[in-house]
Amino acid sequence: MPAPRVRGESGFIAVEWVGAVALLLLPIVVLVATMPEWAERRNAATVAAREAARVLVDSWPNGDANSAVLVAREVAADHGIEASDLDVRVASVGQARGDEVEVDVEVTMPAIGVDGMSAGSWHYTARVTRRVDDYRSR
Amino acid sequence: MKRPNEVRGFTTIQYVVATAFSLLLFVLVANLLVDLYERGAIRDALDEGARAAVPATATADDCTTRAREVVRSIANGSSIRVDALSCVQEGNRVVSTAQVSLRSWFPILLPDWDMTLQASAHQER
Repeated sequence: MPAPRVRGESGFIAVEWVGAVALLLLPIVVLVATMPEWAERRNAATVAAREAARVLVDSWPNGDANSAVLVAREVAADHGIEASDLDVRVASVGQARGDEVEVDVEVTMPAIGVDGMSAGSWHYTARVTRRVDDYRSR
Repeated sequence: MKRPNEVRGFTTIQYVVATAFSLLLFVLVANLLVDLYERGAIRDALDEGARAAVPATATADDCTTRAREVVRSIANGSSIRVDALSCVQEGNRVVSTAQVSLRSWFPILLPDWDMTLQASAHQER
């Protein structure tokens, strides 16, 4: 009886390696490249909201919501966020002493983002409130 | 019984090369992460500097001093080079700007990452 024929097993690893890279390594690289951007954008939204709220409190009672929005957009632009990825809402400019100024900055987060290319998105909203001083002069 | 002579399966060279490429990719990813950290650190330093100049009596020099302190404390290493760091007053805003170069771990494969970063804050009246 003839011995069973053994198929070539010359150990060509390239196919396995390409498969491993495609299935394991690339998703990790994409994830690793995307997650820091989430942290950066989260921080940028917080800083933008904080600055806008500070400007409103500083200029109270003449605080202008539009100028606060501009400030938030400037700060976000400094952090590399495009205006189209940003939504700034001034919920309250503080009507009286002791009121709270409230600014919301919503930033678009890429679900996957590598070197300017992105796919899908989700949103993060940073909310900052600052109290108008109880004894603030007008 | 005839011994099969095609069962070589000796993949050491390919394995070593493939592993080397994979590890190289990992190192490049690590390089990217460190660069992103350093970019964030410089941005934070510029933010801190700009905020240091917010009080009505503060000057642009206070901004520069504070920004340099923060850079020294959180991003002081051989992998980052701060070419210029300055603060200027533009109207009622203080704008801090830095030109930095993030060194590549493999200059043959990837060049250094040069960038200009900026932060601003409105001064109190």
